Amino acid sequence: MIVIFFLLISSPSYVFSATLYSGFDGVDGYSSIGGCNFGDRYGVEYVNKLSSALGSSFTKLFSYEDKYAWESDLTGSAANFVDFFAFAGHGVSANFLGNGNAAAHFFTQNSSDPPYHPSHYTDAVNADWSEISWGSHGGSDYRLKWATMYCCNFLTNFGNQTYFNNLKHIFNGIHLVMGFASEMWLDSNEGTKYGQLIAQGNSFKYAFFTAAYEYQNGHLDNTIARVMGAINSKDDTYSSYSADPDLFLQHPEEYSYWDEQIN
Amino acid sequence: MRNNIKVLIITFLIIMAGLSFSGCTKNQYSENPELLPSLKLPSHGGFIPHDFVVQLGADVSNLPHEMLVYKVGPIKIDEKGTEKLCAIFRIDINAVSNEDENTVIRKQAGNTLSIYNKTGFYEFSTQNLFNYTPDKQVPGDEECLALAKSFVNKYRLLPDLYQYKTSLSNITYHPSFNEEIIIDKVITFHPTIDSKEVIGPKFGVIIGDKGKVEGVNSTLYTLIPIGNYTLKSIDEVVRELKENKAVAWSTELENPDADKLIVDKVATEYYGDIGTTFEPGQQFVQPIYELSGEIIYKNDEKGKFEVYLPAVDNQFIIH
Repeated sequence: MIVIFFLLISSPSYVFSATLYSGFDGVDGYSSIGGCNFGDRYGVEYVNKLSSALGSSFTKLFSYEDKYAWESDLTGSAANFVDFFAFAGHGVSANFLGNGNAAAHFFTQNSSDPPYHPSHYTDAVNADWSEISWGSHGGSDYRLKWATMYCCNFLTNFGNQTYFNNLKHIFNGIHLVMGFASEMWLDSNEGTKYGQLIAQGNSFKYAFFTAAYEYQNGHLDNTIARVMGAINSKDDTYSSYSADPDLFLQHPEEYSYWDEQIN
Repeated sequence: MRNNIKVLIITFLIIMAGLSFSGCTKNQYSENPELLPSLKLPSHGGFIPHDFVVQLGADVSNLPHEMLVYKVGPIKIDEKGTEKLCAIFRIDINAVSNEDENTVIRKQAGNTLSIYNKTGFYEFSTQNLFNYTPDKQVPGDEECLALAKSFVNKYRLLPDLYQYKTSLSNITYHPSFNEEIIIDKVITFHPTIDSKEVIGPKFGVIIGDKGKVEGVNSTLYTLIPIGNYTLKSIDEVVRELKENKAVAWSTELENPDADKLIVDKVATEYYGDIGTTFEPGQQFVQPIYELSGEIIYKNDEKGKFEVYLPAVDNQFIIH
């Protein structure tokens, strides 16, 4: 009994939740629907396959697609209301917007009605680091633990300390963010693989790296899959995971990241 | 006389064998034997260049006019194959932790072996894979490469069908902004046929602490040649590029406004889909064109690019 008590107070807290919720934003039709010249891609296919492969591991709360996927889904409460959130579409790096923040890019302006975005740089179509604050410290009903950003460059800091500090802003109690620190390719089958590996009880890190290895092939430069988050959360699975970490900005010593170079 | 008859018979047999062989090689793969489904390539996650002019600066005189197309054949892992894998990875064949029609997962002592029944793909991992511990020591590149080659050769894990080219990359742990610690090295065996890479399927060996194999990942399959197919002309490829039909791009710069593409190199490769790994994907491994060179953007920035386009002539594709 004493041993059990000691273990409970000395090791990272691992908790189990009865119901976990998921939410998704996927964008395919940047050009064909939104007139955005970034070009169409397989974002909707990816989130649909990921959601399906996760099966009963999570209860899906929302899946917003194409013109119904908005910047505010990431910057507001929607993503924070679920335990697992995934975005698939176009990402712009911290060099692009001119404010040192990378972003998930949309063609809508937080509305499903045209006219869609007048410019790639319009604030309402870019969910950037400075606007994102994910995790339970943001509100009593916020619960986001794991986010997957299946797009280019969302976790790229180019070795720049300022960019790296800007990126910390998104970690407001979220455990891990899976994404890329480079350009990447969208192959919707990667969503199936990633989701199946999670549903089988593998860690998010293992699932993301394994799926990325199989579907991302080397191009001009190596593709870099990155998992960033709390050190205590590195082995999180959907059924066994750490307690919510402190804020990255206040406790950087609790955080780190792992890179998988793919060529 | 007898000797003459013998010589005649042998000569006849040699001629017949020769004719038979030449006929076989000529007819084994008939020209454009069946219509193929349209090849779906992954889409680029960054800016997809559009509405540009194309300047072809590459020598295209030696490009093939036709290439073999292959049908995907899964490598079925039967009971004997399963026993072999379990023995290699030291996992009890009875240590099944999860099983359905697609997948059998075995776990023992922190090691996991997943075998996918329908595709013949498999993955092995130890609990050290992708993890950092302060005492973890990963050997250097050359040693890891040698260890991986020795491992696959010892257990004959690579199908003879292909030649392989290797690449090496790192898994790194970053305890803080400026720190980087290598925690695993990935040696990838990329399958090639006639020196052309088959992009998609591959075999990876992940070497970790003190040279131990911490992970293996196989998405290789067999190929059944179905016939020679006429390829698109380079003019057709350029036309498709100009019509914004290419999706599988890779660009060095993050710039949405391409103005001009200068194509320095045109090569042919193969693209092979691996499906979901649980279920097979596209049935055919088809040739692709790989174009590379420089993009000049409207703001005069210049950067490198690569782009893949399906290579089989459109008249043999089901649209």
